[in-house]
Amino acid sequence: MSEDTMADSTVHVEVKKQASACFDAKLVKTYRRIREDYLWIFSNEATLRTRYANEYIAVENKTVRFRDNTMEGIVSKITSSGQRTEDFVIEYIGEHPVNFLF
Amino acid sequence: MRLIVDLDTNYHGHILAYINCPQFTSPQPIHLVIDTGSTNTTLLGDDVTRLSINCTNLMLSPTPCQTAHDLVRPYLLPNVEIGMEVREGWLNRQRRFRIVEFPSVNCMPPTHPQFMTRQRVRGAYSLLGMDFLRLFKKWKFAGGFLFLDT
Repeated sequence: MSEDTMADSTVHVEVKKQASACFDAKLVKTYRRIREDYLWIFSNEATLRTRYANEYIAVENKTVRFRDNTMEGIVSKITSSGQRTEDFVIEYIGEHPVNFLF
Repeated sequence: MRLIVDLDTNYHGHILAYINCPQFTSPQPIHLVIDTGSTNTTLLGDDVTRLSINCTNLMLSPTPCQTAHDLVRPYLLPNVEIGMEVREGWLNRQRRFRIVEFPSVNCMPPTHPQFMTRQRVRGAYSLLGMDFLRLFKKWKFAGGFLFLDT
């Protein structure tokens, strides 16, 4: 089967030369910080599980700033402190690791 | 172009990206899992609900999709842009935020808010499928990352 034939069943995506205006420098800066926080959660998953099992945590700059048993509770804590939820990575820490099956 | 994919402890590849489409007022963060078993990039039900995507006016895909559960016909969300950081240039040293245009991405039916998965990183994610991954000819695992090169 040729590569062209194989591609027929997929959507043809394209990498744009220029970013749209909505993807501005501020968004990219936030993206990089949030990605660092996700990586920090990945690499500290076992430790976080022992400390925050079955809780939601809000991480900012590789530090757990808030914790709560519910999503509503942690959002409330963030907003009550005068901060914005979009500045945090909010993550649920399960008691056990979860495997994927698609 | 090089895409650096973050690996978790099970070696699944994760990408943090921003998604934009005509239904949004601004790009929204999204967590994508590398899925070579997915023909097209697909937003799963939890993300469809989380992102408040209105599926009522969306067309259904003409071709059904075989999932681990059963055969489904996803909705088609048109004119989607997904932005992510890549490396370019000599020795891939230049960090660039690139936008990928999708004529459409699949949307699974939205999950009822009451039944959404509690976990975000492990639960609420969507799938980066072969429509995008086929752009990358060389794949290499090293040091906790998956390096995809065009």
